[in-house]
Amino acid sequence: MVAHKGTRALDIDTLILKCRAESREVSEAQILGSHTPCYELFRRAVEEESPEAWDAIYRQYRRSVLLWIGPSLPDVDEIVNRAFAKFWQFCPRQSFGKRFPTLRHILGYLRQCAISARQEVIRQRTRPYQSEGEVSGADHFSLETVERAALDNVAYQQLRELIRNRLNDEREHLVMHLSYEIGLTPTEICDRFPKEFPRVEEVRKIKERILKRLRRDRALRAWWESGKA
Amino acid sequence: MTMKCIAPEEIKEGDLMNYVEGTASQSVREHISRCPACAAQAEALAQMDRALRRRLFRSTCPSSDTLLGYVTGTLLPDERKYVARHLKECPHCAGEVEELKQAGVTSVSLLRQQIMRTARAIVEAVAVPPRPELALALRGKPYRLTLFSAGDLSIALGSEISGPGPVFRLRGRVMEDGVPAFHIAGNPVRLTRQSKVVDRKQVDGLGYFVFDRVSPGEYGLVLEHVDSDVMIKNIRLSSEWGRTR
Repeated sequence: MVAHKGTRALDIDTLILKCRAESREVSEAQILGSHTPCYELFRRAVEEESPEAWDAIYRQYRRSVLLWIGPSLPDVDEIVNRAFAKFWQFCPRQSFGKRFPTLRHILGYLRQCAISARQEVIRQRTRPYQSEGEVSGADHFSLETVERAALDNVAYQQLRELIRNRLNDEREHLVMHLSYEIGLTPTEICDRFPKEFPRVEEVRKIKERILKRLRRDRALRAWWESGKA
Repeated sequence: MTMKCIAPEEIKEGDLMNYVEGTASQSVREHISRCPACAAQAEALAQMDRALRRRLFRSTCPSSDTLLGYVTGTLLPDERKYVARHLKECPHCAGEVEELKQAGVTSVSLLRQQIMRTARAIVEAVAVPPRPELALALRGKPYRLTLFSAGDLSIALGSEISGPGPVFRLRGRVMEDGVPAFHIAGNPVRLTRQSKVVDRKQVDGLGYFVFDRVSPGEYGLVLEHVDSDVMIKNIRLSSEWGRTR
């Protein structure tokens, strides 16, 4: 489905004006349509990579993105920017009309980007470790952040390797992974993997065995004491 | 010297872990309160448990971008398989994926309400007869200008030939209720021509903005302001406009 010829012929200022007007009195039919000024504005931003259209979209929908992110997070401007960066980064330029047949599809995707940006920030706050692939949004441009994430990643790989070498069998690997990398309690491990772990006592025994062994390990102790932790 | 448990028969493998997790029985708790060796060992296990948790929690989870790609169907088949496998064991990522899925299927009526609630307005400024003192309000030589009005805001806009060609200097001052709008310092102003932005400036601390070396032609101007933008259309810069309009 393509935008209507009428909206395609509009100059950018008129299009922005019409999109604003449409947004203030938008109907359900317009949200379900692809012949509207707002749809055309998104199409120009993505397919034609028009900076003016993109700039107008940012200003027009910034407050919607803020609403979707929710009010309770600090640095909300950074999250809004991340949301738009995700939208831009992953929007399919070649198959825009196919992927987004109506304005509803576009706005649904923008909303998903807003939620994803919020999840990303919450994740970073609840977990100090950050993989290289997760350095995104505004942080992308900070060399310091990228270097820190890379060093962090190396330290993390060292720790993983140290631990992996101290585990005796597949069950210990699984308990280690599920307990610490996924964060499941022994009861949750039994609930999710009843075949491998039918009894919760068994999980606790394995965990205790692993922790005692790791605590005695000199290399691991040296790793913790080196300040990498 | 290593301490020894005071009553090894009272405690079995797994009990210390139970204690660390706060799920130990009354008898185990009593034993640990009496036994310095077991208390020290439980504390050491708790420290290791906290350290590993802090360091490893969600370290193998796919990134937020990957989960977004999973939900929107843009991952490669191998990546998709990996994420699907991970979701079976990870309630955190499964929760995030569910939230992303829900976000993509918002009802049309809710979406409509949200868009209307957050829409920015754009107000077209209209030309009004200038007051005599406005000529003095602009910096530099007095010259003819046009006053535009949009709600409480007014923009005094004037031009002069600033170089051969000719090229123009287009100056403006923003006022609110007749006084300089100091609080909009820093707000962007865009000069557009044939639907393209040709220059961007910001309003200065006294409410002024200046576009220099502007070629003759017909322009539009957009001032960003709180929840609405103010647009001036059909600004014609010609040698005639500069002298006589």
